[in-house]
Amino acid sequence: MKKLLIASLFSLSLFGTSIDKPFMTKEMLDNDLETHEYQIFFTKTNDIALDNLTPKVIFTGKLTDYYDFFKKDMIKNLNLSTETLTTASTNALNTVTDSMKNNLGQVTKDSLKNAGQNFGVALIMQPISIGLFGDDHYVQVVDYYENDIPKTRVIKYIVSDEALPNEELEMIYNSTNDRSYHFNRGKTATAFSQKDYFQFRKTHNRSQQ
Amino acid sequence: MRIFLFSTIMILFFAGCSQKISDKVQNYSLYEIPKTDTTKSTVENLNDNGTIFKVSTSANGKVEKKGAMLLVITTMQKTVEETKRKGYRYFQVISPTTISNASGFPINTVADLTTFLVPQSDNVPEGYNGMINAIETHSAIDLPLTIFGTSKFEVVVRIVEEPKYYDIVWDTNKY
Repeated sequence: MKKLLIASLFSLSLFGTSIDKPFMTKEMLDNDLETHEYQIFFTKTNDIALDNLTPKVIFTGKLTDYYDFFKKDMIKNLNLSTETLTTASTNALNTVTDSMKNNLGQVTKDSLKNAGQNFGVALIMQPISIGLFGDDHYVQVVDYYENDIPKTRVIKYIVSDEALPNEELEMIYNSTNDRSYHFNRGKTATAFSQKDYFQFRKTHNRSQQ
Repeated sequence: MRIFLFSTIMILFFAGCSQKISDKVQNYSLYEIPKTDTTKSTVENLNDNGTIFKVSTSANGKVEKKGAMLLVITTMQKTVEETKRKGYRYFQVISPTTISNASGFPINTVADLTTFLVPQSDNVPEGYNGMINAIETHSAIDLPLTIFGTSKFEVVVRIVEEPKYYDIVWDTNKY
């Protein structure tokens, strides 16, 4: 009997999982879209109000093309935003390379000898193997201008489980303003319910004080 | 011999039971996520002045797929704390490559990153399996095959002092 018990306990410990309580989103609203499931992520580079700014769409398309677009854009502007990279020493960069060898792939230490900018270029030039994802990814990039000076960039990133026609994409881009959504079988829910998110930030700030 | 046979049967029986238990769905809100005792976060500076650093969170054993969100949230909370402690406001994820903001990955909030890496769903639509498999294909979260391994999520971030309008950065005041 004892052996039986031990064997059973062992089997439990072997097949059981340490965290088996999934998190579920709650907030669900009605929606007419036909797609089974997709998520939209809303990203703003500068946290400023968009009301008085002029939008200008600078890119719409698939994620793989977006990365090419972003790479060109970044290389053009690279010398403007490398404060921390230029202060980092060559040795430190070698350490980074060691710890990220797998991720950086073909980047060699030699190419990092001129510390700073080269490191930045190496990171940006690194291709991202989005092709292996099973889902379809779409991106729309909009720059917001004030007096012809760009102030912030907004990126709407859609991950879908099936290919979306252009009309539907347009509809999604136009109907979502400043939040991320998780759509699910004709219904829609925020990625996290707003209440949860604020409570999360509140508790987090409290624990810091 | 008979004991051996019984043990084998009981193993199979209880294995079935344990599978059954984990099928139970329980609702948790973001601020009530159950943490295990073995969950721990570490910070490691990768350069002299600490503007590039690595934050990793690990939990003993194999974490259930959906529970992996705990690792992501804990890691990003720790990263925000560390950035604030160093007196900066903005940072950028540079590793793993699939979520590298420096390469153009557009997500910069905890809620969105978690939903992206660990998709959640109330019911199970057709596309759900594809979405949940994203955890494996994104290869950002390290989940072992058996409970003898360690589940791990690790990011390398760099601090950005003054981001330009096109820089995708995390803001420690709004994440």
